[in-house]
Amino acid sequence: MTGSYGADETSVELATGLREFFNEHCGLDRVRAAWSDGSLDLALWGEVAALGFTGALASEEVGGLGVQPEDLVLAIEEIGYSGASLPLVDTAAVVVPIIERYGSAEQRASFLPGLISGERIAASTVMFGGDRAMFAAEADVLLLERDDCLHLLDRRQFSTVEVHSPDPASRLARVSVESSVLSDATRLAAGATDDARGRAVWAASALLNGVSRRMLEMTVDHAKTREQFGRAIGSFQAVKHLIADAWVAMESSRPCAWYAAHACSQGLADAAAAASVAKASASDAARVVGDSALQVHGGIGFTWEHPLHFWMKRGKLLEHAYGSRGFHLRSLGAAMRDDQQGSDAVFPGL
Amino acid sequence: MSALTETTLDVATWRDEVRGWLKAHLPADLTEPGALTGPEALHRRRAWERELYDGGYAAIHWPKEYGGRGMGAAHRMIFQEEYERIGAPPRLNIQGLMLVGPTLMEHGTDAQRQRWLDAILRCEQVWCQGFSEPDAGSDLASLRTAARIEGDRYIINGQKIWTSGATYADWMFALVRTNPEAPKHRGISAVLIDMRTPGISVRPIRQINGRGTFSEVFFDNVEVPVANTIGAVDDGWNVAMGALLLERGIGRRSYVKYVPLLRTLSSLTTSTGAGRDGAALEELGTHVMQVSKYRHHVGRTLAESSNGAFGPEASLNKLFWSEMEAALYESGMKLLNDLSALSDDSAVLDGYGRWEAEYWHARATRIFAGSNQIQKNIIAERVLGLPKEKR
Repeated sequence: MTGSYGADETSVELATGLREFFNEHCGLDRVRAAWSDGSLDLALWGEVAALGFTGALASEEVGGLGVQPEDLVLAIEEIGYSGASLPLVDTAAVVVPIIERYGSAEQRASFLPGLISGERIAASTVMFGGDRAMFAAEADVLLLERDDCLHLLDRRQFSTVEVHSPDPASRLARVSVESSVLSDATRLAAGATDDARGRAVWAASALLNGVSRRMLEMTVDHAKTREQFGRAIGSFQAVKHLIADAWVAMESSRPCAWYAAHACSQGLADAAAAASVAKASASDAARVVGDSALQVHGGIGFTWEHPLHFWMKRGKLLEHAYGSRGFHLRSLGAAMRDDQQGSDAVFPGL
Repeated sequence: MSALTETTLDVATWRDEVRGWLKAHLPADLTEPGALTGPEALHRRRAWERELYDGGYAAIHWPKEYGGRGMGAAHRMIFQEEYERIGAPPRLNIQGLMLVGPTLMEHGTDAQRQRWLDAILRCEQVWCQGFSEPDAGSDLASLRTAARIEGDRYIINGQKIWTSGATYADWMFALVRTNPEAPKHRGISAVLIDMRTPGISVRPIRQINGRGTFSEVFFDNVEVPVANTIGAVDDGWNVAMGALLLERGIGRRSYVKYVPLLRTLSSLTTSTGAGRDGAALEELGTHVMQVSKYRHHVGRTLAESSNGAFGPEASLNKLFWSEMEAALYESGMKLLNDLSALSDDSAVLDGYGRWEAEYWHARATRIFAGSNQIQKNIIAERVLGLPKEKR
């Protein structure tokens, strides 16, 4: 048996803390506000940053919490579940640990403190697709992937143009960088790119699984209370099976992200494959759960008034970002094709 | 954290021990593909079960007092992974070890345990399960095989169907109707029946894959001691429900079983010239994802269940692997057809025939042990709390 699969103490503690925080500070009204204002809720950001979440993976020497990826993965699910529109996941799971591991002394000193305290906001193009990043316009720091290298830029070194996204509250933008800006001084050390890609992928998977979990919960509640033909619609097998399929897709996807975080933190031979499994299955689950959710909600789910669409649209954005289902499945297919017995890249230890 | 590290070490040591023992003891001829149910093969498989018993590996999950090793779910899964990794044959007495034994421990009398448990452990008695009937499939509680009490004996008349291993089993764990007047769930008893009792006849069913692994079993005035009832007379439904949960539960198959199938699909993909084709790689990758999901689902379930008892979440397990397995074999059928168009190599054609038989068997898995539609009802009602349908 490898991996704690989310069941150990630190992981549950972090997730519970964050869930309680969001229950208290980010109810439906605040979720809704982010969608109607179209701007980042800096007050909420400040409150979350005060919890130390963005520095969770940073070592205690630099002011972080010093926890491991597998301790953080359940908490990331809670962010997806909460519906909060905040630049938390890439910052905590990718940008901060990558700077600490691959940044020069100067980069670490100038970027880490502000990111860990939450005074500065980060965005990352790693694995998102194109030169796009969520919250790039709001960001003070950009982690940019270019020609298989990673560069760390401050606000004066990049510009942004808002681009269309199914989820406007995640503030998607395309970034532009003058090529003269990129230099040895902005580049992170070798190895950063693969490491960051893996992290971005498992973290996005956990986030997406949290989105699916919320949609499914709403759907189950609706099926229990909505009545037609004189009884709750959840008593009909046709409805039950839609929901059961969605539950299976989601519950079989969640531990894949947990394992991928563990494989990343332990540097296991199957870490890249595990990340691909996590994202392909999270994308699958989000689609199955989203489709079932809208179908079971019927007309009410099709209104702006009902909150389901906030999670559906976030799910749709994340489903195709950070490598689509097809992208990751082709990677897994190629890894299996090239797998030699005992290579450990796909199924280690056999 | 130190407790976690200790467990991890212990687990690694156990894996090494099992791997080493299996390598040293498993006869090579038992890993070859071929019929597993001919008289000769059965003889070898009984001998193998006896070897497992002598090594202390027959039923590691049974409590020590009954001859097991009292191991929990995590250790059991490691044993299963290693057992599948080396390609050992399916456990011959799976019903005895997984269903009858644990049920006797929970509901049996001391005398019953003494009479049967040790014989199961030594594989001196191979067991089959007599639940389904022609008119009691998904609606198992409507079963009609009648057991009329006369003195200290039942007189049993009726029919069971889809019984695996009935042609060679020594005993059957059966559900029979002991009270036709009671509501249907209340008039059923769990009875252990010696398959050599006069009046029992077994007829293998010729299946769509040409095999006869499932049988019909007919009972014509079969006399069985009432003392062979597990639990109270008419309380068999409760006894059986625990047993069904065991049947669907974790621990009977690991993801490792599917890795050789993935390797076969991978080499077929390459042999048919599709190794660089995006759609073919995506299909192969889908199966890699599914097998990985099964692996992590099982890992998660074990991590969350410290005592090895599983709830209705076990329904996910059977639903998931049966759908995964059917899809895997489906892809292989297409690839083997393509390959047989390119090749007249007899090895290719032999492989196609074996794959096809397994392909059809994989379709059965979506139906047996509670059809997948029933599993979805269980998930919806018992896991998610949706209201029961009026029936």
